[in-house]
Amino acid sequence: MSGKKVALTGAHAAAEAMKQINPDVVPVYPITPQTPIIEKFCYFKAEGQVDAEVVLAESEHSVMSISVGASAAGARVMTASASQGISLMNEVLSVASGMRLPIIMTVVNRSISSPLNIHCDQCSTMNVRDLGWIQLFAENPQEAYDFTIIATKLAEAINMPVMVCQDGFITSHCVEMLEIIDDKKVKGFVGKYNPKEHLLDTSRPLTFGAWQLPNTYMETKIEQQEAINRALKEYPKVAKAFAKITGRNYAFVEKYKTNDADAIMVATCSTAGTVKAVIDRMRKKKKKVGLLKIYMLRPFPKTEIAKALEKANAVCVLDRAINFGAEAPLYTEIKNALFESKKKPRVESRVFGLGGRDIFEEQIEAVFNSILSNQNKEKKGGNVYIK
Amino acid sequence: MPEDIFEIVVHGRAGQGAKSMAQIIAEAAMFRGNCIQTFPSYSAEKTGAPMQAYVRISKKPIKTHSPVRKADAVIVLDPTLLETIDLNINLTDKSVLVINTTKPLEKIRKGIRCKCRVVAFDAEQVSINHGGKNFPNMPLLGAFAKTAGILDLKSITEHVRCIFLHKLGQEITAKNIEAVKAGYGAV
Repeated sequence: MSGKKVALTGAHAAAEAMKQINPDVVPVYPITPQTPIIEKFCYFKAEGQVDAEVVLAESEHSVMSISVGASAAGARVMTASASQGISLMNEVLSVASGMRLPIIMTVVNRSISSPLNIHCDQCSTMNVRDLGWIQLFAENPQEAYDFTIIATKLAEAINMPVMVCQDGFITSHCVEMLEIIDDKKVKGFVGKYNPKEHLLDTSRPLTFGAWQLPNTYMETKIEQQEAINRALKEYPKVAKAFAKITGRNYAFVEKYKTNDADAIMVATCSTAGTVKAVIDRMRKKKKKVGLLKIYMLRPFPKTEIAKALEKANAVCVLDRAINFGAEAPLYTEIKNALFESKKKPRVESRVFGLGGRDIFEEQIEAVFNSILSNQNKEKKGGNVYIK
Repeated sequence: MPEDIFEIVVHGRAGQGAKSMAQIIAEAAMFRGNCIQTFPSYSAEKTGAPMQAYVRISKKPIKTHSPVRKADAVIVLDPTLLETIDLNINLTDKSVLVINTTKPLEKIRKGIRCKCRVVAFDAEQVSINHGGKNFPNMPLLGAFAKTAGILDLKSITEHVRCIFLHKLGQEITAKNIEAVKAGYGAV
């Protein structure tokens, strides 16, 4: 393809995509646990490589509030956050989605307090999965870059905010080789942002986020549900157009050697890559194992997931997050996706890597061996940990 | 330790340049046509805290994202780390250990259970002699180039020049390259 090969961290890759898109407004709150995404973007701004308005806020709550205001005013808005920052934004995240504002947020998956820890896990990201944002999960710097561009087009096509999530440190601080496309192609792909409706259109005065009473509120929420589900139709179109200019295809999920697999691991982000390395090794020993990597968590591509998993004998869902008082978040979703399938594989759960705890290939191989031989019969369901 | 991937662990203290060193090795290898991966692993986010940086170099795309455990090359920037970390976790008979220390080789060997090659020298002093500052990562890069057998000296000095020149200017870049070369000569 025509791209340029560069070595960048995941965070820098996301910032590079933001630079090429050159949004109108980027509200930021630069303090731990902020990520190098904002640091790099501010560098681009200082160097005059972008003309985006960078707005320094006094908290992440304000970052999202400014994002909402700017987006409602008709600006293309991007920001970045992580961990406690996302938790502090929580209130305004649902304002953004409820007002149907296509804000793009690059997210680094990091744990949440307490105890204090800013290392990798997906608790903060999973926490906000039901707030009406589309969520895309990237495995490596290449995907973090690609999804930032795809997200912009997708968000604006259906008026919905999108989060592009990558694993903290393991991806955000990991230098890998990736292919970036030239500025013109990126700008051509995302196009100029021309919102149909915005606050500053004085010829058509509108109210955003109006007071709605019991007689209308519910209809708005039902419409919002239909709107986010529109991503299931729109995303394949956007991904196809992206593949045309890059040669890189992104479906809702990545199926890695799943077709004849007896046992399939379900994973997201960086861990999916580690699972692939394990699969390559185990396949040489004639063990039929595969991986289903989830690219899109919201809206949840239930049909594709069920289809990919129902032929296997056993499935194990890896969650880098914990759901207190319940089973792990991704595990719950996957089990739900398989409920209506005629043939249901046995579905196991493993919670791992909280607060940046390392995950090694040997541990994943041990889980594969365990589910292949059905050693865990008595522990079906519930939380099982890889420590 | 997969056969088709060359793996490196750099042990240092935050602020000593372990991450930069890993990045220089990885990028230099990339410019020689390899697939690469490098990432740091921090404990507490403060200067002086022990941390690691990992590097993978391969002719094929690298899929795994797990930390490197058994490594082809292990580099230690700070001699005091030996009091707290067990290098045996990273070493095999085939590894090379490159370490910044003033201690004699026999003393370092004592704590190591495998028959790996050990390269020990005072990188701190070499760095002070050539740049005036204590950045042991530069001489260690030279020693790595000489003993690891994955990258030659020129690949590393060229990349050091490439990234330092616009950041630090000609004089400091030249001093750093001298420090790399001195490290190469010291082992």
